[in-house]
Amino acid sequence: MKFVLKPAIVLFIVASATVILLTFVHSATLEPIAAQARRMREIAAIEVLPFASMIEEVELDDFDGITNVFVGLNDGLVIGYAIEAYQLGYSGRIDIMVGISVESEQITGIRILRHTETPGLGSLVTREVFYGQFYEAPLMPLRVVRSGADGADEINSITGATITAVAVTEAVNRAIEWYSLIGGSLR
Amino acid sequence: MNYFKLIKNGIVNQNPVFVQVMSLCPLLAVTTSAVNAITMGLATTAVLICACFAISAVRKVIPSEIRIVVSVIIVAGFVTILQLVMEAYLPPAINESLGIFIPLIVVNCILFARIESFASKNKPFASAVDALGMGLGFTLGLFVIGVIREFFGSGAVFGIELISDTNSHMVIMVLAPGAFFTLGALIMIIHSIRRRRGGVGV
Repeated sequence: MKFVLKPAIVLFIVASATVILLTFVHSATLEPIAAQARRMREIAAIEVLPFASMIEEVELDDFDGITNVFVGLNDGLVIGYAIEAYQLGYSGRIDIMVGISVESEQITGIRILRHTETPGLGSLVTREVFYGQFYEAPLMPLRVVRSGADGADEINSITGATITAVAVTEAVNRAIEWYSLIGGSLR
Repeated sequence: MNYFKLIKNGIVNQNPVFVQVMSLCPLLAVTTSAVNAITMGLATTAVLICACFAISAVRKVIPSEIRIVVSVIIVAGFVTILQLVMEAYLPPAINESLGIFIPLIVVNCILFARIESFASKNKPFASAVDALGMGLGFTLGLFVIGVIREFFGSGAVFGIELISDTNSHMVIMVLAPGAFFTLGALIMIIHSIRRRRGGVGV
């Protein structure tokens, strides 16, 4: 009996002590972790809406592929939207932020928020050479070409990593779709 | 107990990466850049020190039948704390790229090697010093491999671009095979030097 009891009691004490410590650390870091995520999103939203003097998060109805939306305001007028969209890439979800101007009806920039693509290949979409192509793109379905994009709706893929480039472009198209279906009516 | 000797033992004589060749999984996976390598190394060192100290402190009251279970609980606890703290206070980009390898420190074999062979037989302070030496040795190994891979693979060091022409980057160096090539070459160089000096190679 003693052989069973002593290990059981020791194990119980060790496990309880660990759980108490973890509970404490978890509740202490809950707020900073949420703040980190929020800050990262807001920085990206400001970057894709450079002409907005302030941004505000809006309530969002369920829409496939869209996670968050910010409106960009200038003197109380809605001048643009920053739309957070995602799409599955080569090795997981890619989250991006897309800025759309209400006035010019163009894309004002995109940023890659999170991705798990192959380092050195798919991950190159985080370079400006790639995402800069979306600057001033028209609000119509965009498509990826291998190289030599000439139409306004064509995007060059990067280092042949077409799956990643297509995924990013599809996510941008999702954001454009949200804007034309819902964003316009929020104005 | 000579503490200086313990630290030197971890960094040089028994270096976990180049001599013991342990914990290759995180080693090969996260060394795509110098910053990732150092963060991973220091994270492992922190867990190693805390866990070795704690386990050494309770070593006399833990019945030997549940020794491993208790070690796993203590290590997992420290790893979870580390993960929460890193998520809360480090730049999100670093957390993203280290991803699954932070929780996987739980099954890091350097940890269990030090716990079983050192911390369960020595006093808490000596165990912590031994853990510090081993952790720094691991960090050094990660850092060297990280710098080499980042330079050849993405033409940068610490994220500062040195070669901007992407055509001259050896992409294979930041992919999995590059890690094996780098580690193999480094082990070869280090052991040929050790042999020449009259030491024992692997």
